[in-house]
Amino acid sequence: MISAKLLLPCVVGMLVGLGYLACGVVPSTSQGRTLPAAGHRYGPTTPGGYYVRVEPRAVTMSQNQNPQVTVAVENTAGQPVDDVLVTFTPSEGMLTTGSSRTRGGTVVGTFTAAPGSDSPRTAFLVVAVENVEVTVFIDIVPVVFGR
Amino acid sequence: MSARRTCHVVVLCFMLGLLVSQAWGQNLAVFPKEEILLVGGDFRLRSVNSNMAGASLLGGGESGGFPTQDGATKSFFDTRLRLYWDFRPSELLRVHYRMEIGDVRFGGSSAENGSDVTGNLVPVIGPGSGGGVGAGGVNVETKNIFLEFAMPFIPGLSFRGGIMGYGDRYDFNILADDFAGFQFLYNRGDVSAHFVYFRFFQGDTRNNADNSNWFGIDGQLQISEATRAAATFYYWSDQEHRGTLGFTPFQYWIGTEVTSRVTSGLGPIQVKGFAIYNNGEGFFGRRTGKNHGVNVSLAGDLPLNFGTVGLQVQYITGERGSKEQMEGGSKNGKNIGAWVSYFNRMYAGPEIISLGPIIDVGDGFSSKWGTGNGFYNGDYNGRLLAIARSAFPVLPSVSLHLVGAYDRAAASNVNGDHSRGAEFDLWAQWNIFPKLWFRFGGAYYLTGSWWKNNSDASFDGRRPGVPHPDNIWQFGTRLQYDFG
Repeated sequence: MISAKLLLPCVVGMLVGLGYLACGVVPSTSQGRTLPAAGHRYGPTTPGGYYVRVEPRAVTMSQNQNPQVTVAVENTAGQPVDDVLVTFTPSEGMLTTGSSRTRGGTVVGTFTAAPGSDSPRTAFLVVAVENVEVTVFIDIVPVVFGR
Repeated sequence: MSARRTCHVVVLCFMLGLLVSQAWGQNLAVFPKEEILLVGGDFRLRSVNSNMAGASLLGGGESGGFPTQDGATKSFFDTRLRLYWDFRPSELLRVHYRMEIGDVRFGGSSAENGSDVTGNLVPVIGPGSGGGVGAGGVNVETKNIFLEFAMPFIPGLSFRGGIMGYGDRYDFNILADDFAGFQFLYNRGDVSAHFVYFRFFQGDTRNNADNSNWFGIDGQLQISEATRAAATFYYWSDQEHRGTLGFTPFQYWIGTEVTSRVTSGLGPIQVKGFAIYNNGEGFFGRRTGKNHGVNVSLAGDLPLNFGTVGLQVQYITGERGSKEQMEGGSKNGKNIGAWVSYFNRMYAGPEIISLGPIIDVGDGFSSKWGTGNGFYNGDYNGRLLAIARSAFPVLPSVSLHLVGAYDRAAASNVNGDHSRGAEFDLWAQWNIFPKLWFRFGGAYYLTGSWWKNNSDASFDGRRPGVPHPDNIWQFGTRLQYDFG
């Protein structure tokens, strides 16, 4: 019989292990795979009646990085909608996309900060689908903090 | 087999199986080859011309500048190369190393103490050295070296550990530098949060800094399409000094911030406001007694067709008098109403009051200098600061920046004076090629009565101040190439 002294580590080990296993074998939650949408869904838009999701909502980057922002457009049932126009308006720098209309329900944009602006600041990226506008706050931090 | 041994074997086998399954689940090689190597950095060449005096090591070694009387002009060129290497064997893991060669100076030998305009000690093509955590004043130094990877169990959770840059979200008003420590970060959906721990070693942030611990927890939430709210708690503990003071010096900060895009008749305004409360006892052993303070700021920037205009107002509580009264003087042991922090860097603003945007020279008046007591420059008299800033794209590759700032102490100094001064800045940026840019301009600071005969405004914060402090000017150029 396992002593009480050993019981606790065993139980903790089992629980940790089971959680670890679950993360490893369940595709929807494993690392390296597309995460299920977790952010708030905004809408419906007018006139299309779409719902908009933006990920990530929080971006922290240094001047030399190029983070991606994914915009997903869905119908009421949560199904992806194609060929919907998505516009990006950054407060500084530029944002490039492969297509301005959704394919597979999404548009992916890549943000580039304004050149030479190495001071820490918050950039605003406005994502618009019809009449719904979602703002992504991009915290730009120095490449090197120390002097 | 005994129950104990059976238990160990079961647990070991279980964990081994889980490791294999986890690796399989990630569809990654168990020992992936580190074949992805990213390299980048920047090269900077700048010139500095200024009559700002630098603080002395006698006061604790903080960087910072201040007016003096009939001060000498400092002029020099320097150059710096920063490089980084990023090893990314998978999307889940990276090892980062960042180094700096420089600043290597040419000229400026008239500065006897070897400091630049902000008081940072810089050798004139000095000997090579390196390895110091965030160390300055050496030719070769390690800036960052850390490991970062996505944690199992909880999607969105990651770990970072090593020597890394860290700054608070409040315009770096509390803490910003390269430190040794670790972070747990969570970013998923509308929530982003982190826990951070740093170990401050002797000399990390100043020459006489004590070994101490820094803890922080920060979280932000998207509360609507165009607004986010955040809250932060930082705690600093200096147990190493318990023996000399009879108590453990500490400080804590509780802050909240709201960032929003507000619609107005002129267009959307980008608004950012924060409030921080600080409380503590003792600081680096220079005094006993308690302190508390508040730091509030509200900023708004309005993009227009012809450029961007912005306004920022900040108020930091302070205490009347001088630091001499506090350090063993009449205010020693008393509870004072002044703000304490490691750094105060008002970015996106003036060149001299703040960390200079023109030539990136250092911390300006917003750093601590002189006394080493941790009070942000202002000093423990606090500050009322109003900044008007603007940026105009005059050509596709050239932008013009105009800034004005009014600087006033929240409480009077030992002579009863409040007025610190006013600053005006004009500078331009020319984006020559992608990632190659040139910035040049100047700043002028009209010194107010607060600086006159003020012992707080001296090399070490103890000597008598000058009766007629100079107005301060600073001009510079900065040519930089960012790559990678």
